[in-house]
Amino acid sequence: MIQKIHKVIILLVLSVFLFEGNCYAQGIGHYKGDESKLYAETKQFTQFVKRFNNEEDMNGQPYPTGSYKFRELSMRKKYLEVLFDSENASLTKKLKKDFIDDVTNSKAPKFIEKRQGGYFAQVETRYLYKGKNINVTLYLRLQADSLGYKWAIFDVYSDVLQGIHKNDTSKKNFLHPMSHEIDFMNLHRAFRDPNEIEDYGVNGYKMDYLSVLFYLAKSGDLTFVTVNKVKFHIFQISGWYFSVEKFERDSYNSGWMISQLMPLKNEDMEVWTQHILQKDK
Amino acid sequence: MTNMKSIKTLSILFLCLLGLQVFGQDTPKEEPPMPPARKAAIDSLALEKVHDLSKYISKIGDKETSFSEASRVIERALELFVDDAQIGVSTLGKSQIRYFAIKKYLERLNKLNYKSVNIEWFDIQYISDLEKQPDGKYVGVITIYQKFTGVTEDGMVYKDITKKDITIYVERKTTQIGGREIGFWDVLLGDIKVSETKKG
Amino acid sequence: MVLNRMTNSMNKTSIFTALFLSMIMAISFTGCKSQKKIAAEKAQQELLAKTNKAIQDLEAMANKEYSSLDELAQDEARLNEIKSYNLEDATANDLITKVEANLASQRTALEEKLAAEQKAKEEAAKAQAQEAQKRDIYYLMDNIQGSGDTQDSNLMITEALALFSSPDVPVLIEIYNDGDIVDYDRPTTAVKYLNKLKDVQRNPDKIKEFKTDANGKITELILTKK
Repeated sequence: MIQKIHKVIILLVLSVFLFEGNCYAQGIGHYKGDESKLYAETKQFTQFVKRFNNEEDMNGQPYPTGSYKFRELSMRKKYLEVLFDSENASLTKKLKKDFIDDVTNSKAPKFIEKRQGGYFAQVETRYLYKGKNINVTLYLRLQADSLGYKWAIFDVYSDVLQGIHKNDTSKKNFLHPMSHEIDFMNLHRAFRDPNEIEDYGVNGYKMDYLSVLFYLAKSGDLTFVTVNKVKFHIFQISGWYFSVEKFERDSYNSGWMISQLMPLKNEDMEVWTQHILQKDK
Repeated sequence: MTNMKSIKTLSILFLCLLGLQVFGQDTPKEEPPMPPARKAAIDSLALEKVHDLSKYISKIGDKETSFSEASRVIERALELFVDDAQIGVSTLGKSQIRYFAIKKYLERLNKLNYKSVNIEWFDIQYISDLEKQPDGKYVGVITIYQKFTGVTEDGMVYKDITKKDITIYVERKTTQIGGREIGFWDVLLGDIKVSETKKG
Repeated sequence: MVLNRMTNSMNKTSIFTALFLSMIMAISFTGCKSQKKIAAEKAQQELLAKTNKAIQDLEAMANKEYSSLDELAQDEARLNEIKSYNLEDATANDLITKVEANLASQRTALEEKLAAEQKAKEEAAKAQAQEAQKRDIYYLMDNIQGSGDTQDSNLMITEALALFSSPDVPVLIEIYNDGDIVDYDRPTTAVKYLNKLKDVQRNPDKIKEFKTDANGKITELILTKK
């Protein structure tokens, strides 16, 4: 476990180191007039993917079937350049160049395939838990189901939810090994103090917080209030991790853009994923 | 020692399983893609419904519109939507979304009684792909930008520029008309996310 | 008889005369016989000519294609004439059978063709009338959105509705047609469609076709996106 935490720290340091540097100004620059910023804006995550892959023209119209422009690499480079949050200093010129060069490598270009997994959404939400506002992070992925697809919640993190089950590991409660002879009547004691109830579970037992969330919602203790933020984590491009977020600002650099980027080796992917899912907290 | 090792093995296995859960994809049941011209026809039909909605909204908000006329128009506007559709509004500077049922939203607009309501369209829109959902219906999102200007009785002008992400549900249905079978696309609007981009 | 009487009444001296006479008779008899032969030969020739002409005509008719009923009727008359000859010529009779078949099939084809032409003409006239009606309907519908005033628009809706057999007449709007697949918008009704024109202030969709009842009222309206 300690080794894993170390790995995460190394990755974090690495990413901060890589992201150092000056931001570099961008703009689509092809449009004029009032609406030009709206044209430039990457209006949907769908559009982010289409621009990333170069699957549509400057007006957002998909290229006709069989067009040579579809996924053509030189135009794609131009699109890719505007898909970064230009106000994020950690997205350095070099880092972006390395990334763009890699994904547009004419021998082995890398594209985002929306139906091949390798990415998921992180949704920051707010609930009322016993009358108090709490923040809950939901993790969703696109899943094939029956005739089509759906976004499905696969994990959840909340300081409050996870906090309920935080247990002081130094204080160990247990049912003594002769409990069977008294028909486990000491279970009464175990459940008297719910704060330490987890002590009575088998070693290595893991909480399934998604089930907890569903249970609390069903019991009426938890009511949904609102969505605060959405973020996508993309692991599909081999050798890289990046996140995509929506930047709403009066600028040519707005809409869905890359908010974080770092090289990621295949063997580190799992650790990084667990970090994003806040499993290491 | 053995115990530690087995825990480690178990936790790695667990992480691997989790990883599979995160990234795993079931085999998609791909269908031949819709011809682009057909998709374009559906897109423009959906866009037309969105245009219709904004005309209805102008009419509902306009003081000149009589109560009975407004009620009729609200009914017509609701016919554009699936049941239980909501409008989620996020205001500049606040991240949270406020939710309104479409009917409530339209009725509230009518009660606001602007002297006049003007909705200008920006000449830009973005139409996503149509994706099939588990029940076989297609779903897509149309993004539009509008400038809303409402003038109140005492001359107060309320303006805003909003980005609207409008869910559209598309379902192919058939019906009998004059003894013939007619295939039609039932295009209905769903939830609308309204984001304020700029105070007028 | 004459010869016998002459032999009985005449004396032997008259024999010479009788002989002479009989010679003349014989000569004249011989002359009479050759004239008949000539006549027979002539008839034969005429028949041959008639047969040949008939064959020639029949051959012309055997595979002929007719563009008018008059022409066909003429040949039918000619065929009947030839048939009335009762020719005993195998070629001719074969041809008669052939020509009879050709003329019959030509008559059927020609009558069908003429009927189709007539129908097409009538349909063209009807289509022209429909086009004119389409323009009228479109004009009335277009007025609704052009008015801008609710009351005026409502009057125009009432006026336009008078064209329909009922306010609930189905209105179909074609949005896509690739010759194989035809897609429509969700079917609506006349009254809803006309009201929508008023509400959304949009030009009506192009009229593709419409159906009418015995009173000329519209029972189904099919529109198409321009």
